[in-house]
Amino acid sequence: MNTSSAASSIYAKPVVPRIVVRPALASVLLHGLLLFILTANWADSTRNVIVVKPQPKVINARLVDASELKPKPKPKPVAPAPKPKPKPKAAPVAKPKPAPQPKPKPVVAAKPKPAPAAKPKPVPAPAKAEPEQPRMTQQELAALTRADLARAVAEEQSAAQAAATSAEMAASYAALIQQTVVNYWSRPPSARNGMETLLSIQLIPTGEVVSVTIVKSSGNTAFDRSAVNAVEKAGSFPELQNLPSREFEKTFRRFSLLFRPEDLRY
Amino acid sequence: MKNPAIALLGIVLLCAAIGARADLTIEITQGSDNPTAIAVVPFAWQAAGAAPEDVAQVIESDLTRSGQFAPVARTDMLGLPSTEEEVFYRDWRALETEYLLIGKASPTPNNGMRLDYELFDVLRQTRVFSGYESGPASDGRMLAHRVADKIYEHLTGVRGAFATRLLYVSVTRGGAGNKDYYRLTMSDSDGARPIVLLESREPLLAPAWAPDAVQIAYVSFETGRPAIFRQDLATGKREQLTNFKGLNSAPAWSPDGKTMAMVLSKDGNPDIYLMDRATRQLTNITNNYAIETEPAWMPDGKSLLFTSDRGGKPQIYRYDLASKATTRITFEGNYNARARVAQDGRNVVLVHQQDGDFHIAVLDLVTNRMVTLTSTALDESPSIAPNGSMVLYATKFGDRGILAAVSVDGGAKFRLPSREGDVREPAWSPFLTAK
Amino acid sequence: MKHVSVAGKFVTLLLSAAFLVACSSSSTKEDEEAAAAAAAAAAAARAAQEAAAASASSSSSAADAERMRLMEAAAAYGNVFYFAYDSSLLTPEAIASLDAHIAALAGTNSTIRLEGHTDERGTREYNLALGERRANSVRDYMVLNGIANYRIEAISYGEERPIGYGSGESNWAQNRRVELVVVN
Repeated sequence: MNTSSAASSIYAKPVVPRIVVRPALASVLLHGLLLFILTANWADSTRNVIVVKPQPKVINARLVDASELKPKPKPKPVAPAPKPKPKPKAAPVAKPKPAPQPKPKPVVAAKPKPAPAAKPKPVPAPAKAEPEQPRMTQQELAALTRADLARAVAEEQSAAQAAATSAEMAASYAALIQQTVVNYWSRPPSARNGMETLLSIQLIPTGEVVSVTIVKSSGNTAFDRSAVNAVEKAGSFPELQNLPSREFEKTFRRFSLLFRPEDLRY
Repeated sequence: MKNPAIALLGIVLLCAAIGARADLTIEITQGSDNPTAIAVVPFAWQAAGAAPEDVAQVIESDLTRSGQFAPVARTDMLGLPSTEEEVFYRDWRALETEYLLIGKASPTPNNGMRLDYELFDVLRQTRVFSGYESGPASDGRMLAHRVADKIYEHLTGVRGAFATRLLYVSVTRGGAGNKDYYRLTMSDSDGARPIVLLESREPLLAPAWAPDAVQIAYVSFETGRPAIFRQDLATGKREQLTNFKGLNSAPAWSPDGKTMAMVLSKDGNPDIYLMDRATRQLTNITNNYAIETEPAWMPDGKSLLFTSDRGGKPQIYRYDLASKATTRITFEGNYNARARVAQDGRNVVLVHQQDGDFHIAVLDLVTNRMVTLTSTALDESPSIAPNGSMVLYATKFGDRGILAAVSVDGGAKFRLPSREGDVREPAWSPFLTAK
Repeated sequence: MKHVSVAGKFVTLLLSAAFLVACSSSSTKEDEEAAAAAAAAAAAARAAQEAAAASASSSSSAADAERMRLMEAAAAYGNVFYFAYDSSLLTPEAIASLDAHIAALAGTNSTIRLEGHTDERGTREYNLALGERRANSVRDYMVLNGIANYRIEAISYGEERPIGYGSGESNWAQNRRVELVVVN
């Protein structure tokens, strides 16, 4: 469709810029929205202050009943006599193990479990006196029980890892940073409990400190300087290299250190 | 575009996904308080011959004694810069130094000396502070102490007290049947350059500084009885201030210098009296049958602390001049005496007996907590530095009396170089200059 | 010839000897000593003469003898009174010693000085006050037992002028004392 005059081409005529109201408005609004989205603080409105104290490592421990691990179809046709033996053996041994486990790592939990699985093995030995069929089934049962146990534990472990939230991981590494800085912080004699200096720290993925800035001063220059010096003396936190990069970017690329002594005489 | 709303939503979600970040703040509530490593390079002497004083050594010793700094040994220094151009930060970072002090000493007309110094931050590789001190060359050590004061103040926020003086009594035994020799001595804050102000075969006790630091007072038995004397440091001129029967002891100048507290037993038992310096008028502030002694002024001059055994054993009491009320302030242990108050009006050092041993302790007047500072067993006569950081006291080492010091937080300890004889009764001067 | 008494002869002899010695020309120290001895001998002779003259009155010689005995008794106790730690109470031994001294001083007019001391433990100024308390303790007892107050001066040296300079109870016990000094 030809809208312009037939005598001249559209390229000859200079285009006069015109402001069309509705599209213009939409454009401004869209840009405004984009600007808002980019600059707004998408984190929690309350500052995510992690007060890092020595924390126990969190694991998920699930009570395992050995009866769950018994291979279901095969033992059934076998003589019922040997059956009760491994059952009571495995069950009481397995049960107490998960219970007293709130602190130690899940890896430790995995180890004793195959052990009781091995125990039912000598039990079937006296059962050897019995007919052939039950003995074979006992060994099979033991092997199956052990395999099942191992698989169950592995599943449990990965489930636990997946269950460990990013907050818990951050807390672990934050505790490490905290301990390192504490080891390097020398307070001047003019320092007092309750003085506060807030520093903003920038790291790179190798754990090296690339920037230290005083965000909020305590009012005492020597105190501020002692805080900055503590970070500069520490220099880097190489353990952070073990962090998955998503986690690093999210929490440790830029974070704050609040120096507020509580252990001074006054 | 089909539905702008969906596009918008898409953009919002995308931005949220990218921009999402946990805002982590880690709280640091404890420290390790290791001494700050500082390298004090020997100052370059800008003339022929040897320098009259190793000022860098004086500065380094001052900073180390405070307990706040750890020096770098000269044998470890890879270079001896005296100007900024000569400083290679890498050399000093290798030694894990945090700060570097360099300087020059030069002679000035009329037997003077000038010290120019520069302080560098090795971690940040910048110069942070510089200045100079000048005075007579014979006073080189005092110039060095003033430099140490400036460095200390810049790095700790607390005014340095190295450019100060000490008074103490030195006694040499006369041997069997002979009287001892007593010498009232003044020295620098590190014990150097002792000067004998008065010598006597009769006991000398209780030296005290006037707040102007140009007069002192003390007790002398030269008249056969204890009497309080005042002496002008510059001229050596003396004046006997009291001649009462019984005890005349423990002179203590008020912070404004107008009143002197003292102990007199002329009315039957030792009481604290205030003597107006101008009118010589006396006021008894402790009219009590017990022993009252060892008065010490609070820095605001409005109250005094003193020792009294009105409760049976010596404890510290406080007398308020306005209300004339007396209150007891020590409740731990059954022997607390000889209180001295720091300039902050909050820390009180005193002699505290525990399990038969006499230690120096510090009492916090705000929290009422008492902390023992020393582990030696026969401590007495604590005296606080004018910046409240260190306590000088007398104790026994082997068979001899010596002077030792401990920081008010208990972290740093040192002994003054021992002279011959027994040294006791130290008194730390006020600041010698206004600021 | 007049009958001269034996005592008189004796005195004459002594005086002659003294005269001879005194008139010799050299002036060495020995001579001074000899002169002093001679003077003492003369005094003794005079006393003997007096004693002989007063041999009739027996009571005064007894008094002198008594005084002599008292002074010796007091000297036997020594002129130092010791105290227990942190105490200004007179021990029974101190009281016994004091009684002897009071008896010896009762007949005379001399002034005395009581010098109080403490051991090194504790603060110096408080010990000055404690030493005074000990000296006052002795003075009060003496005044109570008849010695006039104006005759006694009590001062304290506190930790100063110790007898034992070291630490430990053997030194400290020696230093917790009041010393009695007869001034004239």
